[in-house]
Parts: sequence; structure tokens; C-alpha cells
Amino acid sequence: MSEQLVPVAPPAGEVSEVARLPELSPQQSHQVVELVFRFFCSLRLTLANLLLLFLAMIAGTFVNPQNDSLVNIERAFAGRTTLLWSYRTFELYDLFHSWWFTALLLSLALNLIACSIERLPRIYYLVRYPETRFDRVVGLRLKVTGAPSAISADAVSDELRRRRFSVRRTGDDIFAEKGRYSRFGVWLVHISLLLILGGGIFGRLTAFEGTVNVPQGGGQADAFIERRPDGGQFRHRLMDGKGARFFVQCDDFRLKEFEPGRPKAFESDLRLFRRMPDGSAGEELARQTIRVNEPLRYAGLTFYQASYQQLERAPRARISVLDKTTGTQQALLVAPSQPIEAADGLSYQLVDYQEDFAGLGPAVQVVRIEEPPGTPRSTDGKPSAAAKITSFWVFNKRPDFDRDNRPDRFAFRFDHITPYYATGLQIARDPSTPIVYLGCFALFGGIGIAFYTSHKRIWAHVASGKISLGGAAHRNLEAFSGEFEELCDALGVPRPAPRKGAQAAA
Amino acid sequence: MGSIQGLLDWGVALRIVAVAGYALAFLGYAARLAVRKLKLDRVATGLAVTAVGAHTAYLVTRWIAAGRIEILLRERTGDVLSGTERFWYMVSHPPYTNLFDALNFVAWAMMVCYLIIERKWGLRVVGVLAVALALVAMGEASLVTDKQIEPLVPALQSYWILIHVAMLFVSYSLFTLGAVCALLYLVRTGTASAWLGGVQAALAALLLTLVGGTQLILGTFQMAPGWVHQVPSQLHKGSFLEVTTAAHYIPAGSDKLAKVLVPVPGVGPFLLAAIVLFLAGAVIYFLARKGPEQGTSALGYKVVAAGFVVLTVGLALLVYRIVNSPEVAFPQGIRPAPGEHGPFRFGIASNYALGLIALVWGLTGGFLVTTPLRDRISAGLPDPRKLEDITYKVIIAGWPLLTIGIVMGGMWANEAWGRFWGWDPKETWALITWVVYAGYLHTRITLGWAGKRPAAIAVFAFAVVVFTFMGVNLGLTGEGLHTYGAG
Repeated sequence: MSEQLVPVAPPAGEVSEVARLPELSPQQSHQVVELVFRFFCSLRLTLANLLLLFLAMIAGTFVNPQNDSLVNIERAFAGRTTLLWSYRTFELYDLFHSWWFTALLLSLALNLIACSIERLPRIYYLVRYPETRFDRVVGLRLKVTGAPSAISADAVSDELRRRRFSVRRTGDDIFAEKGRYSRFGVWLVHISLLLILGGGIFGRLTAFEGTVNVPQGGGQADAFIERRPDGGQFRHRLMDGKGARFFVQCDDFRLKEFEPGRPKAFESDLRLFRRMPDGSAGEELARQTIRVNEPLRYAGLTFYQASYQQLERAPRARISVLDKTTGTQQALLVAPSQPIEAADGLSYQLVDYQEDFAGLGPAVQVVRIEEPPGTPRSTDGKPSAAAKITSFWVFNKRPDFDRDNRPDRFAFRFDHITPYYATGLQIARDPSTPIVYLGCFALFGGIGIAFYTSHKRIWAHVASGKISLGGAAHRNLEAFSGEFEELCDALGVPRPAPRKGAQAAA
Repeated sequence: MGSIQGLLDWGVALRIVAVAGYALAFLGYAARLAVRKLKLDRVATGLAVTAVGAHTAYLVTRWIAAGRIEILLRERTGDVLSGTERFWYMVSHPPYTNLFDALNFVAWAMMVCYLIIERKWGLRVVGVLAVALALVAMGEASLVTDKQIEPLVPALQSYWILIHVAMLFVSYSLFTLGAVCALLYLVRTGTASAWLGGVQAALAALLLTLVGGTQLILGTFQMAPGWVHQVPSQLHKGSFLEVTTAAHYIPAGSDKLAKVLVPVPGVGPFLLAAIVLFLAGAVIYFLARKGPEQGTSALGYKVVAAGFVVLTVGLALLVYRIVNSPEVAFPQGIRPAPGEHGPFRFGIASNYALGLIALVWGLTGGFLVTTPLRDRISAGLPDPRKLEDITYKVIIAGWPLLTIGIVMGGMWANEAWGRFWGWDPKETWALITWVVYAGYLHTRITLGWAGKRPAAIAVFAFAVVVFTFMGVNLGLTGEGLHTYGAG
């Protein structure tokens, strides 16, 4: 036997084996679609999805409790290859965003879609073409049959209309119903869950969040860092929807406390400026004091007060300066040796701080530098040889001491010393928010309809001095049975006999 | 206008009245079951209503006191509050923001729901268990070390706390009642006590193991008794199972607070022995599940009872050690965190751990006490169809609240942190609870299951609710965003 070489390409004019198979008839195609559809409709799939989600989520809360990044995990489990392999393959470092968890959510979503498609026409037919004849309705739990009564069919219809039922008559049969929309409640609940789930998946693809620390006192940032669970980092530039860049400036950060260690509020005074091509500040775009629970929103981005950081720079003093000639007072946050230009040729600098100055409590020492008129502004920040330099102390516990005792145009007050902070901003963008919110509100509505309203139906047959009456509610039959009994009383029909086993004494 | 201290004193008195009322109501409900001739229905209900009244008044004093504290502390630190702000701070601090208050609140919500059920459908037999659970919850609250009202941390200063948390807690209490009805259904329909006891013992062992830490599962159990608030993961080595002081410090190279851990001798072996005995009891019960009903003479019952005795001794020893704790000196080189002042004594590092142990203890004790009375209890129960019906109705009342509560949590998270859902442990476990009850509803409504299987799901789901409510805060599942200093 000679060996035959496998041809690299199929001979010209020949198609593959699969392609040579006969085409499926429309019926057969339908069967395939039907099978797939049936599969995703099935309640067993729902239950399987729920069970798997249940197990996966439990695993998810235990497998990486500290949300360590893959890099850290690789370091910690170095040498344990199987464990590391499973961490990588099944993305256990970020289980809730792993491919298989996403697949599970998708399966649930398809399940929801298929069920919703399958259900809607059924609900519609049930609502659109109800059974209107008393004798064809089976299994009624509220029922009075053949009670002697002189009441006319018109009177029964009127009574039902008075009770806000919509009434249909076919011969001797009366059919009345209200709350038909209630049948759509459960469907709406499922659709809204689908919206929320879909919004979540859309958000997963489009949303991002990151953090940046901005030093108080005018620190700026024009980008923020997104840290990915796999250990990677991504730098996002701040820009609006049109791609125009801007930056955020932190004018001040305040850590307010009831007492040390008990935070009262974290606040940052933020301003957003357009960033010019040369990096300088353009127009001011927005300004807000943000707190936890009160973020700043601009151009689809949201700036949250997430944390703060104490910088290793000298602490600063909160002081206020009163201009005695104009009466204006100015609150300032100044670093040591930072010049305070009070007036032309007159400046001050904080040079020392004592926690307890001679038993008088916290105090800062201020140097007053007065240049003779006409002295050119120094370039190195040092006073000229002709400058008149004096110094004085300002006491925290005696706020009016300096004003009353030192003859000068400017009087100082000293509030407190504060460390130098950077505000920790979380910056996020999530275009799925409107979808998810729509889903949330639809869910509220759906739950309201599905759980707190009911489709109520009454059938009556009035003929030859006898009346038969039946009632059904697809939810909360107990409440409806009271309503039904009232109706019986109003029509002069005996109430239905109580069902077996109901209201047994405990 | 009473002072804040006056309000708090009133609160303490009202809480005592409520607990005493529940205790008497428990006796009333139990007596009318035990002795049929006694016409105690109205007495028991009257006592329960009175206790709920006192409990309501207690919660109101607690709420007002918290509001006043919020205002007082702000004014003391120099804030000038407008009328609107004063009103907001007055209501901003509802009585369920730490574990002590949350347990009291859940007990109250459950009793209110129970009284509504009693009024609508009778079923006073549920009252015994409802009142007993309320007593367990309030007893657990009494064991919690941090009872004082602290001003709310910035993250919780939002109107959402008024609705999001309340809805979830009310749904939890409804689910608890649903589980009670389902359990009674299982007893009434003659479920073998081997099943009930086996599942009970297995869950007890599981919960105690979780409290003990994952190290136990991995087989490297460190025998130092107690519990830490934050059980470190594999990557963050630390000592497990130690009792802490109430003090915090900031470890070197970190900016987070950590608790000072001090081992307490002698308690650990009892805990481990109890776990082993419960596990053994579960296995023995499981093997005997098809045998005849043996009641208290079953081997499994004896083993579980032995485990219960050991757990009781361990728990008593632990409480004794904590109560008689000496002042703890800080180890060399460790300074207390800013704002912490001595003297420091032992406290359970995690009040949630203590709460779970107390719950395991109470449920196991309840099983042991009721098993010999099984036939009498079963005979006194109403038609199983009615129990089944009410289980369903209670769960279907709780489920919308759970759903809306979770969704509103997402909306709050979106406002405060910029994302609806972050797979934070508390969020995830709330969703797990939701999935379990969604499963219950679908098997029950759509699949048409009835009888024991949905009832078993309803009982099992209660364990999930307990873990969501308290277990998550043990720290096994990582430091979440919902563990606001309630440790």
C-alpha cells in the first residue's frame, strides 16, 4: 500500500462534508430553535442557575477576603503551582468578575429573557380572552350555586359596576373583573431584574473608577489611577465628553472630629479648571465642597470623598488676620516661613510654634518685616538690609490679645495647628447608571403590582329565579373572600360555605 | 425635657420591662400549650403586647437620645446648627446602627410582625418560639460590650440609613418567623428527629467552626481561645482565636486600627470539643436517619447533649474570664490609638462571634429541651396546611422588603461611592439570601412544590439570614464596607 499525502487544500470545486449535508427543512430548523428556546425557558435551568450562583457567591466571599491583587497572591503562593494555576485560570483573585461567573450571569440573563418572551403572550391571552361563562370555570374556591333569587341580571351588573368592576354580559352570563394589569406584575419584576442585570453587564464593560490624592492648599491633579485586580494599573486623564482636558484642585481639606479618633466629617473644597494646552489653568468649570455621601458630579465623572492622607510636610497654622484700617478679616492656612503679604512692603511669616508657651497654651511666633518705601521686591525672598524686623507671639487661648496689645495695622489670631493633608478622591464614571436606575424604579413598580395588587374576577349566571355566583383572585384570596361575601350580602345571596380546614383554631 | 442621661436611664428601665414582659409571655404561651385547660390565650397575648409597648418606648428613647447626642456633640465642637439641621440630626441616628441596637430592633420588629400574624390568623403556637427568639436576641444584645451610642461615622450620615437598613431588618424578622412556621410544619408532619437533630448539629458545628476561624478547616488550629474581629486571610498571617482587649493600636507601617489581642487561657479546648461532638452527633444522626424514632434514647441525641454541656462550660468560663478580667497592660512598644483611654479590659473581639455562639447555644438547647416533648408539641400544632400557608405568606411579605432593601442599598452605594454593586461581603450575602428565597418562591409557585421540601428550604434559609446578619461581620469574608466599628 502506498501512503497517500493529505492534500493541503481541498480540490477545486469540492465543498466540505458539513456543507454537503442536506439543508434543514423549515420545520427542522424550527425544532432546533425550539429546543434552544425551551432549554433557556426551563425552570430547571433557573433553579440550577440560582443554585450555582448561591455556591459561587459563597465561594466568592471566602476565596480572597482581603481583595489581594494577583501579584500579591503570586508572591504568597509561590511554589504552589496547582493553587496558583486555579487562581489564574478561574480568576479567583477577582471571582465576581471572572469569565465563568460572568457566564453564569449571562445564563441567568438568557433564562430571564426566554421566560419573559414565553410568558408575555400567555399573560396577554389570559387577560384578553378570559373565560366569561360561569359553567365553564372550574376549581372556584368561592362559589354559590343555584341560590333562589329574584334579582335581575341588570341589577347584578349595576352592583358590580358600582364596585368598580368592568362588566361583560353574554346572555345570562355576567363576567366582571378588575385589576387585570396585576397579571403583568411578576413579568415586570423579571424585566426590571433583566434591566438591572443588563445595566450591570454594560457597566462592567464601560465603567471605571480610580483614585488620586490631591494635597490641600491648591494641589492639582489632571489624571487618576485605576488599580486592576490583576495588579495592573491604568492612568486615566480627566476629560469631559468631548475630550477636553481639565484638572481638579483641592483648595482645602478639613478633617472634623468630635474628639481625636472620632470623625465627624471629611470635607474637601474642590474646584475644576479647564486645562490649557500648556498645562496652565483655564476657566473654572465647577466648584463644590464634597463630603462623604455628597460627591461632585461633572461631565459624567463623579468625585467622591473616599479617604485622606497625612503628608510628611510641616504642619500649618490656621490664623486670621484683621486689617484694623478697613475692618476686614481674612482666614488663612499658612506653612512655616510662608510669607503673608499683608500690604505693600509689609509682610509677615510664621517662624515658631510652642505647644505651651510659658503656661499660656499653644502659641505661634510671627516675624514682621517692614521694608522702607521704594525698596525693590527681593528676588530670593530674603528681606533687604534696610528692613525693619520685629517679632511677636500670638496665643490661641487669648484671641483678642494681639489686637488689644500690639500697635500695628494688622492684628493676628491663631486658631490651631493642623497637619498637612491630601484629600483622597475616588473618581468614577458609570454610563450604565440610567439603565440601572430605570431597572430599580421598574422593580419598585413591579413589586408593588405583583405583591400588593390582585386580579379579581366574578362570574354570575342569572336565570329563571336562580343566581349562581363565583369569584376568584389570583393573589390574597383571603382578603377577596371578604369582598366576595360583602357582594353576596349586597345581592341578597347566601354567603359561600367556609372551606374545609380554613380558620382552624391554633 | 429630660437630659440625655435621664432618657438613657428610662431606656434601661423600659428594656428591663420589655425583657421581663417577654419572659412572662413566654411562660404564658408555653403554659397554654402544656396545659390545655388553662385559658391563657388572652393573658399571653396581653403580656406580649405590653412587652412590645415597652420595647417600642425603649426604642423611641434610644432614638431621641441618639439624636440629642448627635446635636450636643456638634454644638460642643463649635457647629452652629440651623433648625432644619437640628431636625435632621435628631432623626438621623435610628436605633439600629450598632450590634446592640440592631439586635434589640430585630427582636422588636419580629415581635410586631408576630403580633400581626397572631391577630390575622391566630396561630399562638408560633408565639412560644417567637418570644423565645426575641429573648435570645435581647440576651445576646446584653452580652455585647459596646452598648453606648456613638455619633455616626461620616459614611452613615445619610437619609438612606432610615429606610435601607430598616427594610432589611424587617425582612430578616419576617424570614425568622417563616422559618419558625416551617420548622413547626416539619415537626407536625412527623419529620424524624434524626433529620432535625442531624441538620441542627451540623449547622451548629459549622457556625462554631466559622467563628473559630478558617484555620480550623485547614487543620492548623491554633489553640488560643477567643476570637478576633478581623480574621486575617492566608496572605495576612496573624494569630487566630484570641480574645482581645477593648483597645486599638496602629501597627507599624499601617494606617489602620488593629485590636490588641490577649490570649485567654482554658476556653479553647471546650469550643473545639463542642465542635467535634456536634459533628459526631450529626454523623450519627445521619446514619440513623432511616431507623425508628428514638427520641432522647438515640445515640445522636446523647452526643449532641454532651456537646451542649461542653459548650455551656466553655461559654460560662469565657464570660467568667471576661467579667473578672484584670486590667490589661499594653505590651512594650505599643501605644493606644488616638482617642482611646484606659483602663482596658478583656472584651470579645467580635461581638458577632459571641452572638453566633449564643445563638448556637440557644438553638441546640431548644432542640434538646423540645425533643422529649415532641409528641405533645406535635399534637398541639394546628393543621399542617395552615402552617404551610402561613410560612408562605410570611416569606412572601418579607421578600419584597428584602428586594427593595437591597436595591436601595445599591442606590445609596451609587450616591456615596459611585457604584451600585461592589461585591462587598455584606452585599454579596444579602444577594445570597435573596437567591435562596427566590429559589423558595420559584419551587413553591412555579414548580408547585409543596410540603416538606419548601419547608426545609425555609428553615435552611434562616441559617443564611443569620450569617448575613451577623456572620459576615466576623471578618471571615474580608473587611467589608458594612463593618462600621460595630465589631
